Amino acid sequence: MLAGEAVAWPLVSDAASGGAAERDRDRRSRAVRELDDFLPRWCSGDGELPAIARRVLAVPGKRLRARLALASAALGDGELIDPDAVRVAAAVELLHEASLAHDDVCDRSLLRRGAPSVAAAFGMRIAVRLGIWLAARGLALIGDVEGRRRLGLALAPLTALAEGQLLETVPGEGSVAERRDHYLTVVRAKTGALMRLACDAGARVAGLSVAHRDALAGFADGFGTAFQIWDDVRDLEAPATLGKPGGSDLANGVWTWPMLEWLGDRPDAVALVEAGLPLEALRAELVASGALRRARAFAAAELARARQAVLALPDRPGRAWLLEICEVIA
Amino acid sequence: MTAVAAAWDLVARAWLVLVAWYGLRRPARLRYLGSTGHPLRLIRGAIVPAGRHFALALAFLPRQRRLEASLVFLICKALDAFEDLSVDRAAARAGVTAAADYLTGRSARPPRGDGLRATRESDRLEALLAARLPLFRVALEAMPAPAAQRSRALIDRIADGMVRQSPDRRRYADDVLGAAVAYAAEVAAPGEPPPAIACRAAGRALQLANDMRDAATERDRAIALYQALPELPLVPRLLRWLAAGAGRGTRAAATLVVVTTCAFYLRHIDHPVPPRLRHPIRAALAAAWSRRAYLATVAALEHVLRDALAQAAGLGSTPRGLDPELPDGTSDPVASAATLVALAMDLVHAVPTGRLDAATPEPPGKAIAIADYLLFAAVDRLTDTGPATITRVAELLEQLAAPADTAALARSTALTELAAEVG
Repeated sequence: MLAGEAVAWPLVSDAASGGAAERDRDRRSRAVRELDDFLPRWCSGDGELPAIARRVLAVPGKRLRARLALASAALGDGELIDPDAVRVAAAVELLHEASLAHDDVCDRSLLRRGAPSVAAAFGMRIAVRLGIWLAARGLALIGDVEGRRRLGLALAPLTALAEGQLLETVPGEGSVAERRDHYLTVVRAKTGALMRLACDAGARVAGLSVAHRDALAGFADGFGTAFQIWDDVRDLEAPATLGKPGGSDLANGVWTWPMLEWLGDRPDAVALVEAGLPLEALRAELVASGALRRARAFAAAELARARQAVLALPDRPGRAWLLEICEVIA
Repeated sequence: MTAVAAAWDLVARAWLVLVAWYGLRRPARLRYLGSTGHPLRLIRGAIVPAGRHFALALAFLPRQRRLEASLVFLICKALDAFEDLSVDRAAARAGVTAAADYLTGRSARPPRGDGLRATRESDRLEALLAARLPLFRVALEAMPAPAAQRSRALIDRIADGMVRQSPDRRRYADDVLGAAVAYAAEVAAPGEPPPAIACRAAGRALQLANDMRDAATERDRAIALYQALPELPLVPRLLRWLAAGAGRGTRAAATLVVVTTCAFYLRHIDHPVPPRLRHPIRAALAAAWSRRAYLATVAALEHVLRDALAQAAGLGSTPRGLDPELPDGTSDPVASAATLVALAMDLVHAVPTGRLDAATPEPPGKAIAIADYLLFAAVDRLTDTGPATITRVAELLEQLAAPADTAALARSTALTELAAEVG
């Protein structure tokens, strides 16, 4: 659990629920397995791009966004594993993988999940074309479900995601408050948009009301921000857990939240970084100044906001699942 | 209109263009504008200092359209005054609503404009216009019924947008300047439904240019510039639409506004302005002179905006891959999306084919980010047409991702097929 977090969240205990929680967990695992089986089937076909896509999908990450879609779909009163929930979850996962294929070129990432990134293994243009192909397959799934269910899913978050990626390239400037504002704008677009889309897609499959969908959007915002800051902290603290070298943001000139916390204490931080402060020295500075601790506390506050939003949702299996997903930030 | 009247109108327009050009940098005659009791005198005296280049463009229009457009423009400036110069947001909302209610005849009493805080010269002029709403109402009531009706509808729409004050500047632009552009297109070519996406793009491009001028920091300016990137390539589509039905004066006015705005963006992208676009008044005169010259200017705009996009993406130039021949009658969403997709794929095919390694000098990150932005902007515009289109768009992107090189991409007929199927 994150530092500064003392609230006990209402995860249903097995003893209290007579094994219902255990059964829900089994069904969740089954939903994720169905997703894992579905994805390579949806990306079948001849040609280099489907083949590379299947290879990428065979080494999954946490499937966090897809799980958000599944969990949100489990807030309805229907089956826990609605086939369309698996489909929209797969769509979100494909859109996420698409953005990673492009990110790896932009961020110069040679490794992804401990293996060579697509750009490193197959070439930069192939990585970009693969990203478009994966996004197309994701959109095809959304189109398929929309065609049958008329969910009314808005695709504007995809533009927001791309915009976030572009805004991240704008050099930081101004006061610490302005830089934090810019960071949060980028994170809400780059990370939060797809999480909002995932939750919204699942919620629409579940037939949730507008008020519940709004609550889920609040959850996605808080969770997305907490997740990104947590990722920033890990990038500096324990890069081995990421399956890629640490300090990539620093190398790319991106000021992450822990660095902005540090900047609040050290007005000369910008000059130090621009002078080429080595990663190890930066880590030492961030630990000594308490910046990493404060970043974790901020992430904890955002996560608490997300969990608070969950309490406004229907008391169905999806609620416990969303809270369980929050545990990933630990 | 008789031949004599037409000739006289032509002389009047030439004179007004000269007057507007002469008055571009001259201060407003505030005392005169504050004391005149005649609506026409107020409009003629205020339009150049309030509109600057926009007033120059209006001077090209035939008399009736010029008067209507000038009046509506000045009313928008008066609404702007309530929005920007009021002491707080609540007062701004109340002022804008009361002004719209008064101008459209829903209330008999104009809002008091004396609480507005004007410091700059331009603010003082706007505050003065806000205090002269009774004269504007008289002018509105004297307009022919259809013109008065559409003007009142626009006033209401813009006032709603100002009251709503969407935090997303593009949504705000859609509510305010996008609505104004759609109105202008309707005035320019009555009876023809204007292309909604191109109008929205022009409104956003104008709004974001304003935001760039007013930006407090370089970062804010850069953000506004990036947000304008998917809009700019769609603006010439509005000029192409006007080519079919607009008269000489309208062609000139539209050319002047678009060329001036695009030149502004080109300067911010550090891209040279081509000779044909370097002198907006000359381009406007050429557009008025011949339709051919007008279309050549539109083509020059399309070309330079494509190059400027490559420059904004950090590339010297891009290979030309897709150049689809869209069937006649292709809808506004499909044609807009096709424009954006073609530009995005050019950027994709500018990405080197080599493997990424530690020695890769500078990966084209910005080009990829802009390509994604354009592609999803295209998806957004297309899927506005309904859920059935999503599947078709997905197929399109899948087909366009497949060609490994530019030559193969250039042979793709995916966009043409989409236009034929979706319309």
